[in-house]
Amino acid sequence: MALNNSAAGAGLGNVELRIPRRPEFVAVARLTVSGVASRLSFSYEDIEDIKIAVAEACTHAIQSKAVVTNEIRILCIFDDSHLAISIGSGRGVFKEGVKTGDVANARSVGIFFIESLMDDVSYAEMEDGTECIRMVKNLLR
Amino acid sequence: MDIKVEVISVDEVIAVVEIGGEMDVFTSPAIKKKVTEVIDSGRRFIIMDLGGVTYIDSTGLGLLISILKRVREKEGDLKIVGVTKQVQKVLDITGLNKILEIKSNVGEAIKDWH
Repeated sequence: MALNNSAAGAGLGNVELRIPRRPEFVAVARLTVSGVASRLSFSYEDIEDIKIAVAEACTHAIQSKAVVTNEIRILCIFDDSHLAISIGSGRGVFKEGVKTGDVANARSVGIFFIESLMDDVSYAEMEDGTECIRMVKNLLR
Repeated sequence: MDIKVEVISVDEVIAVVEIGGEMDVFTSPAIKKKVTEVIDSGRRFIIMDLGGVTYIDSTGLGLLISILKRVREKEGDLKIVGVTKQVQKVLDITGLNKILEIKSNVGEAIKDWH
C-alpha cells in the first residue's frame, strides 16, 4: 500500500514531522504525536499507548543498521474515527515478519509493544518510497 | 537530559538507585553507566526506585534486564520499587512482572536481604 498526499487529504487533516535519526529527538516525536492525539480527544490511556508506539517505532529506526537516511519521517493522518501514524526511515528498517516477544531483545520487544498497544499495524510505503510502519488507533466515542 | 539518577548506599553491598524522568533510548545509556559504577563498587544488591519515572519504553526495560543479569552474575539481586501505572502496564504486557521482583517500598525490599 502506498501512502500519499491525496490519501492524507481525504481525512480531516494531517500532521507531518521529520526528526533527525538520533535518540534525543525521539521524545520530540512522542510529544508531538501525543499533542495530535489529545486534540482528537483520545483518552489518557490511549494517548499513553500511542506515545509508546511512536517512541518504539522511532527507536527501532534509530537502532536499525539498514538505514540509508539520517531522518525519520512521521506522518499522522486522522479523521473523526481514527488516527493513523506512519513512521519511516529509508528502506529495510520496517519489514513484515519482524520477530516479536523476545524479552532479551529490546528491538523485538518494541515491535511487540506496537502490536499490543495499537488497533492495527501494517507495513506500507510512503509516496517517496520510504518504507514505513503504519499504526492505527481507533477513536471510540 | 531529562533524567535524574540518585544513588543511596545503604551499606557495603546494598544500594538504592532513584530514577526520575524518562527511561528511553536517549536516557538509558546514562542510567546504565551510573548503575554499572555502583555494581562495580561492590554493591550487588540493587533496589531500583522508579517512583519518579514518568515514561519507560523497551530500551528502559532492556536496561532493567541487563542490570538483573549483571547483579546475578555477581550473586546479587535486583528489586524494583515505586512502580507507577505506566511502568506497571509495560511490565505486564511483556511479562517482565514475573521476572523482575517488585516490592511496595524500599524498606520491604531491603528486609528480604537482612
